[in-house]
Amino acid sequence: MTFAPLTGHAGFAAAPALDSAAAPVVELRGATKRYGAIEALRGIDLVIQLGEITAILGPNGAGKTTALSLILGLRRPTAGTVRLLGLPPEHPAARARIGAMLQESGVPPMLSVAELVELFSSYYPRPRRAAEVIDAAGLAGLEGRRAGRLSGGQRQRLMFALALCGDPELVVLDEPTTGLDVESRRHFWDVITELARHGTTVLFATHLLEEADALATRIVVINHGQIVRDGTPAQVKAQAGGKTIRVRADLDPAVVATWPGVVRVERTGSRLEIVAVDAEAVLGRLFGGATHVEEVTVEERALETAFLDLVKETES
Amino acid sequence: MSTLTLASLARPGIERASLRPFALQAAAELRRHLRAPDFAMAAIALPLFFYTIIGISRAAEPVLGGGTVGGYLIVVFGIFGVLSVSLSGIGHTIADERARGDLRLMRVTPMPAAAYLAAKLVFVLLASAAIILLLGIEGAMTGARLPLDTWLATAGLLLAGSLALAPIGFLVGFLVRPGSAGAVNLLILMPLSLTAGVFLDVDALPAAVRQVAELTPTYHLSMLAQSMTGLPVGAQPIVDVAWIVGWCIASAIAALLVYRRFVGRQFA
Repeated sequence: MTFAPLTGHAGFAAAPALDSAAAPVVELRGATKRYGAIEALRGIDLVIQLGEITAILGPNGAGKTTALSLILGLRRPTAGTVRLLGLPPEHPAARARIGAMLQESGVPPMLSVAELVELFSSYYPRPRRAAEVIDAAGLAGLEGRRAGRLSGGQRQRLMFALALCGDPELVVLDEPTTGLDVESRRHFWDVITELARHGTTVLFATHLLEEADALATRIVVINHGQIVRDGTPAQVKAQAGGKTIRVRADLDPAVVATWPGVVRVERTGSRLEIVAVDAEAVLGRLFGGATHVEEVTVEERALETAFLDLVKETES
Repeated sequence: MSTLTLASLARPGIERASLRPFALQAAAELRRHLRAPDFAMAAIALPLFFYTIIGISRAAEPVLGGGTVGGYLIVVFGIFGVLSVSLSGIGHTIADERARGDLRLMRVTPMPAAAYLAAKLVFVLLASAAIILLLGIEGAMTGARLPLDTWLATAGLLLAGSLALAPIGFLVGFLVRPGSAGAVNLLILMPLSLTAGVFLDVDALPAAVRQVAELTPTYHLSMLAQSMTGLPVGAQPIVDVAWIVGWCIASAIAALLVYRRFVGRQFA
């Protein structure tokens, strides 16, 4: 699979948003969404400025898709306000300036890639050249293929092309790499990075910390419908990071939990599992104490584990 | 729309003609159906097939009081055809689009809703025109002779009828669960074809059934079209037109309400 580089195309240069230069690209204030008894979003405040690449990160069911649905005007908030480019999200002028890739969406299977790109381009006041969009999405050579005959990965790329064809100032992507193999995913990341470099604001949802870390300039972690972390990837990782120490020792976990640098302690039989931001200090206390310790292992925690802990922490 | 235009003018680049989405949407609508053989089979081939098996030997037969059997068959299978185009071409298509998430995706684009609506109507008109033309050719070949002006007027009436019946398609599309569109269409197509006289002359039906038939739009469309071809049906044009227009308006209002309900549920 090859993606054409986006540089050098005049159409890809960021267009100044003359009529809403002052307004944030996305603005959620106290946004709440209830589906019957289920509270999917509980008062979210989120402001995204021009040029940011923001990842909304969270486990399945955290409220990521609901948050994006509010931003795109696919759902109305139960309470709070939503603004897209300073406008109500369902306003045609706002929609003319964004592009979106949704999770549950489709196109008529009998239409070809080129036909769909041409059709969707016609909706926008200032579309990109079809060939450029098809190249950028990695669909070159598949122009004549019907949507219904594309593979899963090719279909994702078509949906991406349809999100790009209006030359959007903001691209919203809901779990864009779900179902893609590792290679395709990395190519996808390259294209998104390239888009952002040319001034497109990117907002995407993912449940993969690795993806958020690779792409985003800002990570907003959502769990149970609330924002639990919001910062640069480095900040979010530092808050969730640290090391795991496993040890056999006769120590009270409640006491160990009070030691400086300890995030969490779990006891299984005579084994302790200690998560610590400052592993060295904890090891010093372990070996410096009177208690006999054996079978010590120290492990750098994988990003994924760190993220899961972060989520778990907000649940307790 | 004025804000959209202002925003577009403020940004550099090519300003696209606003008719472009209308043209491309209609072209896409035609292409997708032409490429789906099941649709062509059901909506276009079926009326021709019925005309052939019933009409091939009897089309030239004169009817007592004026007209030919062929003229009658063209009218009733023409109505059957245009109704099935609305039901499957609009109703079934929209139900599929809802299930697949096409409408969700279109909703995040600035696609003009009128372009979507118009494309469906253009398709109904063109598919109906194809059915009527093919029935006419078959009629001419089998001896159902009609003067050209009578034939054109009848064809025009059936085309107008296809638009009058189109809201029923929209109603089905936004009302039924996607999996059941086919069954619901059949439940509508069969009775409404019956009252147009597809299987037997409405006069041959029991009085009670006939009274119910007179409440349907296809009965009145059939009466109008039959009298136009010279058949002795004793149509009352003003009454028939009023019934057809009334049905069109009522079903359009119902379709709009059902559409609003769908939007309220899907995008609330």
